[in-house]
Parts: sequence; structure tokens; C-alpha cells
Amino acid sequence: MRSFARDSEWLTRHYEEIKNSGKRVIAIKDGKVIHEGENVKDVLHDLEKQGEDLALILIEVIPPDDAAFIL
Amino acid sequence: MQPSSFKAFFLATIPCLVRKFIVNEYAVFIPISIQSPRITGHILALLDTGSPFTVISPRDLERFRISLKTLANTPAPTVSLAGFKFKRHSLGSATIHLRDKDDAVVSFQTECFNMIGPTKIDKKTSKELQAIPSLIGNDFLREIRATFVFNPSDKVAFLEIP
Repeated sequence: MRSFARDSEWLTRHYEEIKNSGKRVIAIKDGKVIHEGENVKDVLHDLEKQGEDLALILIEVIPPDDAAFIL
Repeated sequence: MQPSSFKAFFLATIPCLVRKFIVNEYAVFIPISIQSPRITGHILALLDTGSPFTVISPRDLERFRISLKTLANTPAPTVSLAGFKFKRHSLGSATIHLRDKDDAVVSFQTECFNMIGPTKIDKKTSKELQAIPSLIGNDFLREIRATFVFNPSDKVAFLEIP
């Protein structure tokens, strides 16, 4: 729980630079982007192949600038 | 009432994370740990006081290896979210862990959490859906009797729990 919370804080601090880098889907672990891709399915597939526990990793999708929806 | 006595009323302060989200507007996120018979793991949920439901999004469900196809083919009430239709399945009894400002873990037993799967699954829909995060809705906030404080100008947000 604590390491996931720390990764969430790291994402908050670095969100702007990650967004500006054009990354779409990122996986964060121990304060590092350990994988990136175009869609969640592919990123999950690659992480699983690397032996990562998907339930414990922070996966974030950076919405494109033209994305607009009301939740 | 003195500020100090007001503060003593709350047992836990849960700090939230404030960052840009859609259309460069600030939103509030909260890291959560879930333990239930179907799901064990972490999510970073958007705190959405406009939502009556607390939901785990399709992208997080895929991470937990919950089949969206099975959710779509199992009878359940439908719910609209961000212009899409989903089937809403209760997660059942779950233990939720939050982290307080002193880094201690605060736990709750709840049946508020729902899994939502799209009613229609195709490649285009899947891509559009992946931007939708899991949501903490009013049901969970009410159940844990949380007070939500959010100042988007100063990028500060937290929950106070009695």
C-alpha cells in the first residue's frame, strides 16, 4: 500500500512532464516509469511477460489534449 | 468552537492527490488498496462527488484479470458514465485500506464498490474507455462519514474521517 501511494505521489509530481513527453499509457513502479505503450492491453501483456504483479503496479492513462468528457 | 477541538473530532486525515486531468482542469485522486474475494490490489481512484456510485473502471479490472466479456454477458443494472453504458456488478464485501497523513493505514469494511464493464466491447470502445479512471463516489464517502475538503487553487485536498 505504501509503495503504491508513493508511486501515486510521484506521478502527481511528474504528471506535467510525462504528459508533455507524449506518453500515452505508463506503468510506474518504485518512482520510475518501467513501461509505456499506446494502450492498456499491450502494456499489461508486456508487464506480465516481465513477471510483474499487475495488481500492485500503477498504470496510468494520459488523456489526449482533445479528450473531454463529464464523469 | 476552537479549531483545536474541531480537529480532535476527526480520527484520521487522509491526504488526497491533486493534479491535472481532463481539459487541463485539476482533479482529486486517492490511492486505495482493495482486499476482496475477487480482487486484491491497488487502484488510484478519482474522487467524484458527482457520482452516486463507487466503481472500479474497466482498465483497472483488466489489471485484476476480471473478464469484461463475462461482466457484459452477466445480467446487471446498467449505468451511464462519460457517454458510455456499463453493466454495474457489486464487488460484494471488501476491505478498503487508505493511508493517513502519518502514513498509518486506515481500513474499512464496505459493500459500496462496484465493477463496471462496457455493454459493448470492440477495439474502438476499449481504446476510448481506457482514459476513464476508477471513481470514489458519494456512497463510499457517506458510508465512512468523510468530510471532503478541496481547494483547487492551492492544489490541496483531504478527507477527514470521524
